[in-house]
Amino acid sequence: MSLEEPEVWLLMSMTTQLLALLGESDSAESEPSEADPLQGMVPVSFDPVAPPADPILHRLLPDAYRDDNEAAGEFRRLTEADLRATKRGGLSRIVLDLSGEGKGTRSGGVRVDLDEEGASQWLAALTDLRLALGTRIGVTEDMDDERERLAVDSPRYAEIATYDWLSWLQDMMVRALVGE
Amino acid sequence: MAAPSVEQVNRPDAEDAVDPDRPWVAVVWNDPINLMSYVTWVFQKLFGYDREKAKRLMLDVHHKGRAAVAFGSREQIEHDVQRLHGAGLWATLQQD
Repeated sequence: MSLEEPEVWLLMSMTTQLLALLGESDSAESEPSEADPLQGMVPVSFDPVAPPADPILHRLLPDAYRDDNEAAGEFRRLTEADLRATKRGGLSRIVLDLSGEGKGTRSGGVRVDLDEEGASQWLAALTDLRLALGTRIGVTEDMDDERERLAVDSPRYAEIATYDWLSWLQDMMVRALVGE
Repeated sequence: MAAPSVEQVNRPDAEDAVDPDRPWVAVVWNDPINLMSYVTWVFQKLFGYDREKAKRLMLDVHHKGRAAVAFGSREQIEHDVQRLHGAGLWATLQQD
């Protein structure tokens, strides 16, 4: 798969932003303090953990129980750190693949060759980027009317075009993977 | 965590009783963002379903708003839901 220079720049920019968001802890108590370096390494509390207030983080780290806040909080306490690490791993893979030595093409783009495991990581990370951007811009199932009405120089047009490009890229990768 | 009170222990509420024989189920909910092609591929990869079954479940999610995609013990299904969240799907678990 070859990506042009502006595409590489766009992917890198979105990926590093999402990495920063996922790296942030929501509760101040779980941050390791200077006075006690071990504090962040052991569970501080056995209470259920509340869902993230940020709508993007809440979509990326959803509740596992629909009508049971206590079970959802307990599940979150036990698994959220792993889920964040999984998502950071996928996004970091994109950063690594796009910044590796000797992968550049003559036009300033990057050529990415992925095995199945790499493709899986890319697909999950592209999903997270689409969930983040889609949540922020309020994507709905049918946005064709809005696309037609928008002026091409409006910020909203650029956001939707970026979202559509991510969708195209992901769909192309899935189809390549399943041999369609 | 608070200690259970006598009142909670004795509550004769059948709805809340956990029956170990009833299987747990992983439910995937429709969302406007995830691609149909990707969701189908996730069901194949995570659960080993053939393409036809994966596609049928994906279409159930799309048209009916939700689909039960896996059954098993609470522990197994919690693990499945975590993997589905890892793939970016909107999934929850409940007892069948």
